Amino acid sequence: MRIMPRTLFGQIMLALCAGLLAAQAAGIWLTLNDRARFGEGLLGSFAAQRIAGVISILDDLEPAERHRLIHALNVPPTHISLDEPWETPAEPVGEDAKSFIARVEQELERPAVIQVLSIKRAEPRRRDNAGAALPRPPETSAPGKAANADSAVRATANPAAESERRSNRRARPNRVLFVEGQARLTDGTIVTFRHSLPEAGLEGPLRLLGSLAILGISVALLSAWAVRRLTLPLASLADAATGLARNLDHPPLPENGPLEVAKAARAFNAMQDDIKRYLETRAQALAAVSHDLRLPITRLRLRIERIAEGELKSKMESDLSEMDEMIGNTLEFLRAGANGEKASRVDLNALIESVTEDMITVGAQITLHCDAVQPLPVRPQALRRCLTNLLDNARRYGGGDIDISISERPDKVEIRIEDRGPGIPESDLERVFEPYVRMESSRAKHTGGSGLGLAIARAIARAHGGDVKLALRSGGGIAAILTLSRNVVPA
Amino acid sequence: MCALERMNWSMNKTILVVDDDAELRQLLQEYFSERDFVVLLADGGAQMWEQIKNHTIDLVILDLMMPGEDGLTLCRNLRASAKTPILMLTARGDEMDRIVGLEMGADDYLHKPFIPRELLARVKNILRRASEGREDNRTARALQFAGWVLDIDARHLVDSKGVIVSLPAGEFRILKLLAENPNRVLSRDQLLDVASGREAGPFDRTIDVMISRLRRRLNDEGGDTALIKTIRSEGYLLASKVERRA
Repeated sequence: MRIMPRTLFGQIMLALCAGLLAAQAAGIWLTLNDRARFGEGLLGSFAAQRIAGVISILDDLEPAERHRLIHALNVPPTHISLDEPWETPAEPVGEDAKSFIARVEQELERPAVIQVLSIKRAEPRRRDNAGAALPRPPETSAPGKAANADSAVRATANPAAESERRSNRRARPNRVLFVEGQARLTDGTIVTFRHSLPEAGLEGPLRLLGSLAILGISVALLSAWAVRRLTLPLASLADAATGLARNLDHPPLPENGPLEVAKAARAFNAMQDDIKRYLETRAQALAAVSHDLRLPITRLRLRIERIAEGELKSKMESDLSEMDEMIGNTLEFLRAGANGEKASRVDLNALIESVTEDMITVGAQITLHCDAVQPLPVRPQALRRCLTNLLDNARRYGGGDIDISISERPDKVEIRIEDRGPGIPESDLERVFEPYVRMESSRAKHTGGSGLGLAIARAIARAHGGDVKLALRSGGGIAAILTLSRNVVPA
Repeated sequence: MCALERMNWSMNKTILVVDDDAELRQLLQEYFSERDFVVLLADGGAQMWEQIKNHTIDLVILDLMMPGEDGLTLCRNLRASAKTPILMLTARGDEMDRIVGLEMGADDYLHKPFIPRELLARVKNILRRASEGREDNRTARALQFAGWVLDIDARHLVDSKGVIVSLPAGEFRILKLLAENPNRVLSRDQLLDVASGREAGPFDRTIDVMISRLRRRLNDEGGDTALIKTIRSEGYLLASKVERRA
């Protein structure tokens, strides 16, 4: 599979979109990361502060008042209860728990009997779980081994470790997402607390992603429009260059668009003009020679009228006729399809039958396989010449039977003239359309021909918005395929 | 008979050759003089008008491609001032020249380089028509009959909807002969003569086959309403009024 698109449009769009995507992704990552660090940092400090506050308030109150106040204190994101027994942590107390306890003690400004049952810290790759309620660790019915019930406070960490943790904490933000723990008040009451980041934290990233997506899509659409605008003139330039060989009178390209494109269009138009002028000059020269040759031929024809009838005279007459024909062919080639003949609707079946009949008269063997075709606006004499040339070619070089078929498509009519001759190498199929080119090997020298037959046929077909092509016929021989456009009325 | 005919057509007939090439004028003069025509020459418009003023001219052979006052203008001015038949010499294959030339009032045209015998035949044709005192001297360019138009130059038929129906050369010549002689029986031999035309070679299509093909092209059902009627043991005739169009 091709990953790199081949069109300029595709490549520019790919580069733009990939760049946009990368920039967006980096932006989103940075933003979310910052938000998370900020939020988590807040949460961590907040959680420790709040729990320390709760402990110190409850510590100061009478047991009876504690239950009244617990409702007031029990607000999200902190859940407080006084009814749970002291639990044994399922896992050994980790670094995080120790640091959290130290933080609380710092807030309390005294050591306290605190244990952390579960703590969840933010991990960069698990951000999507941020704030989600984590499963509570399995509760154990066995009461924790009560540390000195009478002692008001019990430090769970030695001072040295605490100072180390402090520095640690400063170095990395305290990113607590969820903490569950218990504290023993001075009178032995057990306070159980659960603190978690509110779920509302997810809304932020979604909104951010949404706005970034809108930005991304609108930039992509605008770029697509701009790039399309840039590449479109290139496409029309390519079309014009392709069409140049067929039609030098192609209307000039619009010289607008970006500066570079307009410049290219101007250069192309100038080139088209130059080629046209060059070809016209050459055609005029050839036409002038051909025209001028007609006067001496006319004179010669009058002069040989003085020669007594005989072989000499008839041979001179046939030489002159040959010259006349060569000139005629050259002129016909030069003005193919543009000799002033008007286009009319022509019964193509009748035309093909007539040409075929004329060819049969001079000894060709032809089989017609023709569907009835709607009349087509063409120049009848020119098209008759075109068909005659193609048939003549098949007769001269194909030998034997010729098959002619005509088929109608919605937009064009296709006429195939196929022979079973020796054919020509595939590499020469185009070359034979060049004027005055004849295949060396063939019997061309014996059969004559001007070397312009196919060139004239093609010029006429192209003037009709069609074309003539030669193809190797399956099973041997050559197929000449004449297509005529239904949509083009010859000018 | 032949000599008599030549006398009939060319005696006292005066041809004016208008061409810018002196040698060609000279050669044409020799060619036609040998065939008992009186030939006058002009190298362009000025001399042409001069000759026309001083002589009675039966036919003008006019080169269309002349420097100065061009053939087309001369042709139009000549036609405007006199009924003298004009045979126009045109560039080969240039349809525009031909059409414009005929519109300018030329009676017939011939491409350069022409074959002298062909020129002679055309000249005689025009002179014969003129001597027969036909109102329209000009060679018919089209024959119209029964909703069809037979275009003589293009050698094809045009149906009532304007669609062109091409004809093989042989069938065209047969139909042309039939249409030139409407309601006249033409024998198979007469038709065969024209059908084979000048092109030599084996002509294996019988007249009957060609007639049946023509009928098919003309959507001719045959029978009593047939356009081309079979006259038993005689030949065929075109049963329709034919209008000549210039």
